[in-house]
Amino acid sequence: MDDGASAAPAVDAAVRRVLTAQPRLERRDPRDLAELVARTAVAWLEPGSPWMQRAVAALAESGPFSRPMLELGLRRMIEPLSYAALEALVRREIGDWSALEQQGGRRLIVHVLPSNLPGHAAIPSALTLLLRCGGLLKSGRDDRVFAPLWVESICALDPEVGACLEPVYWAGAVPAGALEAALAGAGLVVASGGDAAMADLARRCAVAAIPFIGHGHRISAALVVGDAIERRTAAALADDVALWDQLGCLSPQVCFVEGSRLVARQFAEAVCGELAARATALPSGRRSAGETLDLRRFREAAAWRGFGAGERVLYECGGAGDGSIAIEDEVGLRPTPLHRCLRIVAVERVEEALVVLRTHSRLLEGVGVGVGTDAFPGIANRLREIGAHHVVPLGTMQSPDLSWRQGGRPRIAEWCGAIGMQ
Amino acid sequence: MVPVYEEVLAFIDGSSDRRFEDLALAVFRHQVEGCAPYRAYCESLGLDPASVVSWQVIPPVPIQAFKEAILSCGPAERVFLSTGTTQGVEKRSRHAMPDLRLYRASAMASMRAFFLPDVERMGLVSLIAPSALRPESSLAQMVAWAAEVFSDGAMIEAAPAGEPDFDSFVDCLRRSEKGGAPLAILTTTAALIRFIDHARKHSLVFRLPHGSRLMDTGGGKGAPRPMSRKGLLHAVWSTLAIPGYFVANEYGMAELSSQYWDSVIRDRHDGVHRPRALLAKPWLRTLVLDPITLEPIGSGSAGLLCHFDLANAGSAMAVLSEDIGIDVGYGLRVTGRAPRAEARGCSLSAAEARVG
Repeated sequence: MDDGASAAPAVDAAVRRVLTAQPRLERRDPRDLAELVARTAVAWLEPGSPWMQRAVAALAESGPFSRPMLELGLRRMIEPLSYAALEALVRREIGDWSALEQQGGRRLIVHVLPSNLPGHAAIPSALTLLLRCGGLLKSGRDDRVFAPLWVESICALDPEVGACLEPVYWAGAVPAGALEAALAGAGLVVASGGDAAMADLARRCAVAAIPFIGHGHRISAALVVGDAIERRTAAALADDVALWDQLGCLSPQVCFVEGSRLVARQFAEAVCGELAARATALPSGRRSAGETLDLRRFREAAAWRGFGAGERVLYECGGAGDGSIAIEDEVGLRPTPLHRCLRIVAVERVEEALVVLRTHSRLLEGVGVGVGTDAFPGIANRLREIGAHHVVPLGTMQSPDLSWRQGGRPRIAEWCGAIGMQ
Repeated sequence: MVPVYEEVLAFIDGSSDRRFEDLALAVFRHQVEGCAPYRAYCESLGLDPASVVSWQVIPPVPIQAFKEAILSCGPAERVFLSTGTTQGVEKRSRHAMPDLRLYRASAMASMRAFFLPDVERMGLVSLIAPSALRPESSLAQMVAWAAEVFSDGAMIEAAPAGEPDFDSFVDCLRRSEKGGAPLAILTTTAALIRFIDHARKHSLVFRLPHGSRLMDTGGGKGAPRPMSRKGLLHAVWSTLAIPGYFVANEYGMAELSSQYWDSVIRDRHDGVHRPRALLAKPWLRTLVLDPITLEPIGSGSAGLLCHFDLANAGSAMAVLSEDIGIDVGYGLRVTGRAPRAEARGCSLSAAEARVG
């Protein structure tokens, strides 16, 4: 049983264990903690890593993703955790290590992890340790495997530090009982998920006077400028669409292509070929009946728009989960049902795409850009100005490093403020 | 004059001895020839129309098709729009009808058979927005025809401005109560629930004369609160004194020209005792399909309802709905809607979006 009431005793016990273990972090140098995190990451990333093997095997069994997808995707989740990247993050956001060395102010940080992708526990738990705080890692529904294994792998290298992290699970984001038990010891709650769950959680934290940082729904897009419309760009876009079956909030759902409708169709053809090629190397995972039907609805809508208009609108890149591309009539940012469904929108000028993206800046997270190297900085700056938080070349959208400010928020500086660190 | 339409009209009025299958295949070929999007669809399937020899294998069009293309075999005499569903903001279906006689003939014959089998005409009151106000509503048009065909006087429009006017509705109920003339109430389920709440709030109770009846339609769309069918029947009895066997749910879709109706009134009239189910006239048949594979599934199992409506001869006869139902042998039970993806995590998907 993992409903809120029955999970409450286990959560309560986990909170007590972390609060007991947490003071020992005061004696640790944050640089040593960063090094420990980096070593843990290496233990996962080295060839034949038993941690990775166990995680992939268990997640392939219990979750929706295929084994090759998990092998690639989990690497991308963990790779950012190098010592150099952690040090750069500290310098960027809080000046230097000394800011983390002050005594006192250590609090339990509760992480409510999203259920769309596995492996989400790695970076938040690592950053929590960097702040010499204990962490409660509430897993998402489809990944109850990674957080316990990740914590176990830290324990294997340093049991004292590992004891400051506790994986927990309860069904849903905010059931009564378990959440109360978690909040009882919390100094900060950091959560990702749907807007409704985030609003509910924010309300509950406000009542308990606990700082809350929530990341709600987000959408990402791609932008391909005329001179970059080529097979290499199509392949890069297909990589971004295929990874995690598009379930991540950095997965592009709409691609704006500078050029005519004919150019858009040719580009769609190329992307579709690339997606079809990835169906073997990166097979799609299991889908619920609702997801399967949503995919069919997406294909049906595009196909019938084409039958009505007397032109091809839908590009089917193999089976339903292998890829579906629709050429859109209207210049807009309409989400897809995910699972490798992409809308391609032809725009005469890049400006048109920027206007649309600006309109949706509240929801916009990332934009992958296909453009010549020289032109990238200029376009990237404009996209950041209109509210995109993750602007990178196509093909790297799903590999954010620690410089990505999710939702435009700093990684750790905001946490420091919330838990009262100077 | 399109010959196949005349043949369908003859089938509806009972003057034809053609079989459903013959007509269905004739309609199918007419639609392949006359409806360019449907022809393109069949071509995309690699289908030779001549190879289709059974109505069950006629390719159905999904509801999405009515939202994205005009499925008409000729210039439309009328275009009806769907009202949308309870599942979010979506494009509306457009049902273009080149010959309105088919819809009228089918709808009136079904209403006669399943709602008014025992009376020629009676007093009608409607809580549905009038057709003059909502020309795009196929339901409003059906009610307008019902007023012409079945009302023994001028039908009382109790939603003359679109929204139900409960004061005039109550006046109408009181007149029936006092005068002793039974009344047929035509309403959406949502308006009925609103009226039940209104009656409770104002302690209104009516004892309508025996023979009074009620048609409700539209499911929970726009209802102020959910209400079980059992609860609704009980509330209709306690509020209006209309017994359950005179309360008939009509199952219709803007994309169809024919309707299913609750069996209860017809069964009572025929002296048949069996559980309530939805029945249709012989020109509307339905297959229950596995929602994922779209293969037919056995009687008694829930699946996606795929309708074959000869009265849709001018648009698309075979329509794959989004409704889940069960074939109970003598009729259908609609049990819900086809599922959609659940929200998972922070990535915005179309199912969760309220943009665009």
